Amino acid sequence: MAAAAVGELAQRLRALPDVAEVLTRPGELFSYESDGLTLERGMPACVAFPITTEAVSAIVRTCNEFGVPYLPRGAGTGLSGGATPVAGGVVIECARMDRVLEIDATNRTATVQPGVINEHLSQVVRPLGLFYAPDPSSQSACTIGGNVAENSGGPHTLKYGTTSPHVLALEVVLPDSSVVRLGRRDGHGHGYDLRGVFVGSEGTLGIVCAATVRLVPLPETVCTLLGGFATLRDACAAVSAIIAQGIVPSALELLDDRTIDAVEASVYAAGYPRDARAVLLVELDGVAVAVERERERIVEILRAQRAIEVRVARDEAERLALWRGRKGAFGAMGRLAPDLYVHDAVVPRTRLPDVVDAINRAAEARGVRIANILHAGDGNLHPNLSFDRRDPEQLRTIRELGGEILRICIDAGGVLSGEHGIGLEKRDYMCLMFSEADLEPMRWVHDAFDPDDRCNPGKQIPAPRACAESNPRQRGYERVSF
Amino acid sequence: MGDAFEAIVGVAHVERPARARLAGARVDAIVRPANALELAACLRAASEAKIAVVACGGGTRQHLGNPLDTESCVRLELGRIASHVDVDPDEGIATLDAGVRIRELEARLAACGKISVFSQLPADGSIGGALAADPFGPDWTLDRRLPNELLGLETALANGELTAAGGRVVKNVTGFDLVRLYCGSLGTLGVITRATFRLRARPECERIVAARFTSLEEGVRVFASASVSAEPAAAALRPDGVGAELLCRLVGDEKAVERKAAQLSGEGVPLEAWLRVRAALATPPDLGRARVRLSARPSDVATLCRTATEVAGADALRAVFPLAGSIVLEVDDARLPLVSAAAERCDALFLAERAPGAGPAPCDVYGAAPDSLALMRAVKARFDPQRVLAPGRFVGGI
Repeated sequence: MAAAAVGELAQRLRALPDVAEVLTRPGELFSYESDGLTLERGMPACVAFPITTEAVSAIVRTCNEFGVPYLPRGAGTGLSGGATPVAGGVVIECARMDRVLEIDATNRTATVQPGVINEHLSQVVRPLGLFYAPDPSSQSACTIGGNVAENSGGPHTLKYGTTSPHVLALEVVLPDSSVVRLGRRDGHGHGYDLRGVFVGSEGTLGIVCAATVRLVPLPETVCTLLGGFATLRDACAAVSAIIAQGIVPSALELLDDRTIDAVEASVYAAGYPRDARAVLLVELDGVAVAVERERERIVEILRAQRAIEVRVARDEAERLALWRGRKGAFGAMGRLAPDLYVHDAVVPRTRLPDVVDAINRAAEARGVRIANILHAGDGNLHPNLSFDRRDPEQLRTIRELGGEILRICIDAGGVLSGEHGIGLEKRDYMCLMFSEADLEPMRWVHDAFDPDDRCNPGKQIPAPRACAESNPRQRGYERVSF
Repeated sequence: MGDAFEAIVGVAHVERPARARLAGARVDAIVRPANALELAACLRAASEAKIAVVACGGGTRQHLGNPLDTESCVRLELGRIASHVDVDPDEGIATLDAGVRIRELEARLAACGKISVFSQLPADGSIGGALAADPFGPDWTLDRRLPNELLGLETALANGELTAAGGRVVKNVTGFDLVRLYCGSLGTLGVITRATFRLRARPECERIVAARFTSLEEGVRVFASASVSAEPAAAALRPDGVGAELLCRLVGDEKAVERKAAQLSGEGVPLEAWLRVRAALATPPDLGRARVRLSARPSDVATLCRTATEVAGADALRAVFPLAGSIVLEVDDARLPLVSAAAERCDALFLAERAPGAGPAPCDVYGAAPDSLALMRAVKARFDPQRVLAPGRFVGGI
């Protein structure tokens, strides 16, 4: 976009009511080149800060007049490049739309603007005995709008689900700049579930300007246990044994030996057993009498599955200490190399040990340092690849390894993403999982919302015919598995 | 046109009924494809010839929706698409063909101590039919709705393609969530041919607790305070002429259930009492009558009851589901427009079920059109450009 045109566009945007600020200087735009996935970058023409739905609508209308693309952004903590402005255009920064609009304690809902920080919402409703359940690791920074765009998960997804089932209604600015309500604040609805389609559409169908979300009662009690294991395979067997017993913990988190080492050598040190090759964190919550019985059963299961150490947090301080290591694990890995690629995929839970072994072998073959964190109860794995992006060779190797990890997971019956989304990172790998025919309905939906393809273009769905060579049917499957 | 279907499924699997009707339209043929590929081919043939088709699973929910806006249709029965039943208790998932009856699924799950979201639906229904209809029942809650338990779908589209959406794992954010789009779309975007969904452990304890009140209003009020701590899985209040009976379904750990039952101050009753509530909602209304569900927030149910009583009379009210924020009434067909208008005034969701074989509807059975109807129409136009998939039956005549 020519500098003169950018100047005129910025001037128009600055003149709009309820647009708090518009950034255009290169130094100011630098922070908006990427989200948490630093492998991909792009420079926006400008960044606009609306504070109301009407302002978002006006910005979109102005972008349409100028024929420039735009994309929404929350805190920029996404990990798949969903908020990276690869097509240039206008970044619509929703961080200042940060008001909690309504709390309905009776019906256990809250209506918030998209820039409300995830953890802040839980803090606000805690005195009412409620909390907002989806808890991405970045919850102290990430926003509800971003969570809606990415259908974010977190450690407690195992019991509470990802963002989608917690979103009742959305107020959305569509790519034609109109404002529409998807879903109802009471959670009922009829007609196509466009709310359900919109959640997780990564800002490609429109911009969330308000969300009514479900709140959950604070559990009567919470109990966290640690199991240390001599092998990752033993730890995975313990996970399966727990679920086979019909117990649904609120979290089942697994850290491998390299993650344990990184955590224990960092400020996040949690006292994890250094002689263990895997640490399993089990969290139970609910009615006290039920949690007490489940805790006893879990201890038995962990011991039966050859845990070399079993620890039950005796109080809240110990519980938080156990979680400090898990939540700080990504930060702890920052000590290992300048850059960290946090990968995300899901496999059938029973395949986890084989898949982690295969991924570790693939990393070792390429000389890449890898550490694994798993939401083991969901089969969701996060291989974390340490590298230095200033070295082009390392960058190339990391990209190759990322693709190899996805192939390993898909071949094991898994999917490309459990909670980070597709964005730019995995767009061209969609063909590993879906045929051209499978992707076509997604394009139809996109076309119904955004026929001019101006809203966060180039994300999530590969271009038509990109899968012609690699789709599952071409690879010899008579029927597409799902 | 019948020849095209015969060429796909074989002469033996095409029936030409003399006087059959479906959703207000004449049924020219009943076609029974053997598998999903044949079904997809049938949809392509229907699109090419612009013939309306209506998919039918167990046939238990065919009375849902508006009448077709065509004179004739072809009924596509999914009963033969029922060979694939894969229950994986270790992984906690199951994948079934759409024509499999819920009864068969239940038998398989009972053998391995599991349940699914289908367990609360009528046994005669099919997996595909339930997914297309996404019916409301007394166990409906915000967090245990059918779409929340679905993981993946195989769907035949109007263009003849057999497509996959979702996956076979319990956590997945890969691309648009088409699973939620197809679920509950009443076969107007495509026909679901196979589904993967979560299995849950059979609860250690399931108990039904009953309490009596002198009036429905009292029941609503008492439940609102008692349920905060007792947290029942589901609840139903039913007027009985002299007052109202509250039934609460409690599930989970035995000691926890005992404690919850004590908090509700009710008495234990056989599970059959709850099964009767389920059955009452699953049975179509009599000819000339309609069953209407009005839904809003849980705190709105008292207002909904008053509104319903004003426009339909006190005897119209059949049940209140306080956790869901829904009430159910039965009225004469002719009163539907009045009830629909009242629902719109108090921003409640209106949904009417009419008897099988009922004539033209006096109003849209889905009530006032949602804010997003234009978007829905745009989606429909892209999925079904020839408008052959159950045309007219869905919201706003989609």
